[in-house]
Amino acid sequence: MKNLKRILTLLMSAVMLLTLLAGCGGETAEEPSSEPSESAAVSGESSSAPEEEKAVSKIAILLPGYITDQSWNQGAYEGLLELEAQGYEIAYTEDVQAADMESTFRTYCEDGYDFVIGHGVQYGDACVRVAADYPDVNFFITGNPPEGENLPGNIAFYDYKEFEGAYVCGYLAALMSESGIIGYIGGGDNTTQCSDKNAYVQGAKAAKPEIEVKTVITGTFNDSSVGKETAIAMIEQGADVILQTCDETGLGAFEACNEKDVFCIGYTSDQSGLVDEGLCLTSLLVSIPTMITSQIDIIAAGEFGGLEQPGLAEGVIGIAPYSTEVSAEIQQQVETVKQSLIDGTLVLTPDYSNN
Amino acid sequence: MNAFGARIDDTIRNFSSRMARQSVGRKAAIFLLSVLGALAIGAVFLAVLKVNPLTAYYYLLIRPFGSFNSIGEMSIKLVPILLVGVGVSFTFSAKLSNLGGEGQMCLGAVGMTIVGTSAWGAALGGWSIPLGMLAAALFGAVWAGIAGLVKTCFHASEIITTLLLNYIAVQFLSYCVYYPLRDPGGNIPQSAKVAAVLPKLFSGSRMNAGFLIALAAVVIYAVVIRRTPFGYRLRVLGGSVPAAEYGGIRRGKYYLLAMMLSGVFTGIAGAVEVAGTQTRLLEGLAGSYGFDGVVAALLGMLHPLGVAAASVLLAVLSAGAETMQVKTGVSSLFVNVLEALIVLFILLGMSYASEKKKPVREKEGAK
Amino acid sequence: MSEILSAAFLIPLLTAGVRMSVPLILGSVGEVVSEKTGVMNIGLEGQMLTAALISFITAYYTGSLTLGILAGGVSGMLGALLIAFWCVSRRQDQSVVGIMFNIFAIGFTNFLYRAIFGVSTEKAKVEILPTIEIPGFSKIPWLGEILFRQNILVYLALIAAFLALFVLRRTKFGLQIEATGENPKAAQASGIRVRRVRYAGNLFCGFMAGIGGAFLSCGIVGTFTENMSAGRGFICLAVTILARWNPAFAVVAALLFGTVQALQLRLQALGSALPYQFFVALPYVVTLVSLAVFGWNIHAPGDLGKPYNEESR
Repeated sequence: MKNLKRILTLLMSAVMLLTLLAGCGGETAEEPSSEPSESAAVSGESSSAPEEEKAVSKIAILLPGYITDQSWNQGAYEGLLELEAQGYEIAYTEDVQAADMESTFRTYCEDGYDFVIGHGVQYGDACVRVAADYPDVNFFITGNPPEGENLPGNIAFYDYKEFEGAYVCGYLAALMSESGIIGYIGGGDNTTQCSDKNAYVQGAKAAKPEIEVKTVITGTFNDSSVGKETAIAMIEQGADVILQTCDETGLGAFEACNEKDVFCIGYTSDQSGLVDEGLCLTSLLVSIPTMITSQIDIIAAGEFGGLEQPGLAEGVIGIAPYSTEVSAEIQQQVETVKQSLIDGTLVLTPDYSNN
Repeated sequence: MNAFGARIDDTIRNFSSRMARQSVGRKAAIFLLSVLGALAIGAVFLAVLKVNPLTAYYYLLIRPFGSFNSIGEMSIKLVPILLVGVGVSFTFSAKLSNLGGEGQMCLGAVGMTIVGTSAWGAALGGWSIPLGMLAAALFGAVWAGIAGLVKTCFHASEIITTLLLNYIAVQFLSYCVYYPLRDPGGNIPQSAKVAAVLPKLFSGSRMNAGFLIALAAVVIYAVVIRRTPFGYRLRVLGGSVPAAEYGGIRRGKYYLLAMMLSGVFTGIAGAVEVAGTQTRLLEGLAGSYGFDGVVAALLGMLHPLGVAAASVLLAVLSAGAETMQVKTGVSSLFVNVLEALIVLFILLGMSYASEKKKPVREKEGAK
Repeated sequence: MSEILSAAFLIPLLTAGVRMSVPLILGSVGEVVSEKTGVMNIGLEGQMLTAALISFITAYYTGSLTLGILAGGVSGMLGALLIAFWCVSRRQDQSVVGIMFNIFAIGFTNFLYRAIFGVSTEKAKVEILPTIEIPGFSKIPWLGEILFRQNILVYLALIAAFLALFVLRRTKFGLQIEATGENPKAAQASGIRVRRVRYAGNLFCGFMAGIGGAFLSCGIVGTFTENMSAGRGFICLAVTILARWNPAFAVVAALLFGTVQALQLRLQALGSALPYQFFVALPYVVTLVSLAVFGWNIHAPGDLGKPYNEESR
């Protein structure tokens, strides 16, 4: 009996301690600062009230990686911040793997989010399952749709033609290469990645048929030291231009290119600032923020749903400003190729064959 | 040469016997205190992030029980954890540490997919599920059996071999969804849909028949480990290898059998993920279930009900983490901190609890 | 094929192999000592990861890589202290404590990094360790380039390995370590403070793991990324066994794994029709096969993995 009392006292103290801490802990999730900050971690929710009637009000995104990766995931996060500045309520979940896809979608839907984004082709399947149960929620997948499905009308698939940009990058890389060997470092080989890789090779060979392209799939988007070692390996084997499409792993590759003074090409955003002046020839721009913000207007217009396939022409894919190392003549040639893709004189079909 | 036998002997057996001597109330109090202690420390972290700990904990711990739907979500997480937990409990009984749940789940998932997406699967319709489960059990048993064989023949630690096999299995699954098992209709690296899917148990919830399979697994475990000669032999082997060998139990054979048996359960966990939750094979399917199952088994002290309870705890944390992330913005990775703190504090609490017990005080007053 | 056997391929390969094996050497030398005392430190992975972050933060704010690396070592030791407390003092199961520590580390590093650096377009960076050429030695053909033109942690790792070997084989403390791991009852009876020795072994392991983690962030890429230890801590466990608990062999085994890692990337770059998953899995397959092949009659410390209860009879 004595012991029981002791235990109860301890329990009560613990509860009181918790309450005390709760008091010190402050209010519920603060508004995240829109500009980059060094202070407390940014929480994913805000609570600014929209002024006019908006088509959607609560936007959420499922991310395959982390918002600090300087590319794929960070781009989406920045798009969300833009929307937040416009008055929407935003939320995000990072590192959503297969086991959690459907439940995360559902959690957002149950919580009243009306525009939910799955940032990557791998979310398509889970999304299709969930979308059927929540007809009032708009779903958006940045990737191509799963085949052979009766796709619910409230999902929009965004099969953006990243490979168009990869083609142009390959063309540029081949022209800039003095050794005749260029490299591609990928993190995985899914549809987007694979079509990028193949288009890069295609574009390179279009510029110089005898060019050799080394391709390595590291198998990870998050291991920068593997990326660095891969780039070093390629450089040792003679590559003098390297394109990376693997987020964090790619940062390691850039590190290696910087060290060895080798040209590199960035991914999703202009990454020229990551290396010494001039080393970054260009970057394969994927305007992720625009992908997301453009949908808002479409929802408002009531035309949401179905499949969109934008590419260079629509400005979703772009080529960053060329480095100073790229001569005017080469720039001209590359621009011509890019223009031909934009105005349709050159049409690329994505090549999804893995080898 | 008993290199790795008798790993947890004193601890587990002493705990079990000491625990048995203590009242349920005392145990529950220790458990509760430990959890509160862990949450208190977690609250400090949350305070740094400027999040109200009570709100966060509400979403983490209470909300998963809040609605029919959310209980269903919780059960989705519970099933694989419980199946893996039961599977590795068999091996832990024999003092083997099977950390290969992730890899065995992958292999089981592949087995299920092969059946489910084949022509036979389509022809068999609903019957493809039991057949697929059989294949999954076989694949999982084989994969675990490799580690068991390496242990038996070469005496290499199963901790290491199962961990290495995890990495290899994940790559193997990736290979499967990219090449042989890839959905022929599409380009995305995932398999075609399996011919039949585990039925939902209730409408309005995602809980599926996998839940029943998991329950059955717990019952099977309870029966086998306590009431069959095989289970007895495993436990003797786990208690003392020399005693077991003296009694005629061949170490190598039973190690292998124990590993394969655990592979059956973990393989079926993978099958349930494919046929129940995901409806097709894709990368990342095994998630953290492999390790969660190990934690559940050890936290539950290999007792069937203990493992079940511990699995529920881990499932709640996992399901609640998502809600907490959505509602408070705390990164879902943070729940790792909480989960680790809770488990470590429970272990700590248990260790102090059993220590306080002096041999003289048999009956500790009226409780 | 001839391309692979040429010096132009092999020398850079082995150099990279040395680079990639540094965290493994450090971690497994530490793990060898820890396991010799009877404690299997599965939390090595978590210690490496935490140290990678702590060393990065320290180097970032102090501008000194040395301080950063030392801080990494210290944070590894703190982690080891925790684990030792739970495993040695409280006698909990070493597997579950190790696993939970790893899980804790993943969440904690995420929390701490975000709390300090937030999310920004500029990734925080530090200067990485410079390469040091050992005069004279670095001119030796083949070995010179592979071994003697690396950064300082490579040299430290090798020195640490031989130091550990020396201590284990030739000093009284080393004997105490072996006795503690082999038969703690007898060790205690002969006056050895089993708990102290185990704590010491664990702390050393934590320190080494910490330096290994520091190498990842400050030695190779100069940034911190989520989960950057990427399973290396677990590989150290395998290396420890392959090395038969001998620190010098640990170097060899670690080099084996590191070199196969470097090899698989280079083979992919050379061009191959094999799917990339095959290459990624290769180092693990090689390690597994090695365990089977070289695992005959290995003698693990007799008491490895068992919590030691001083009062029990």
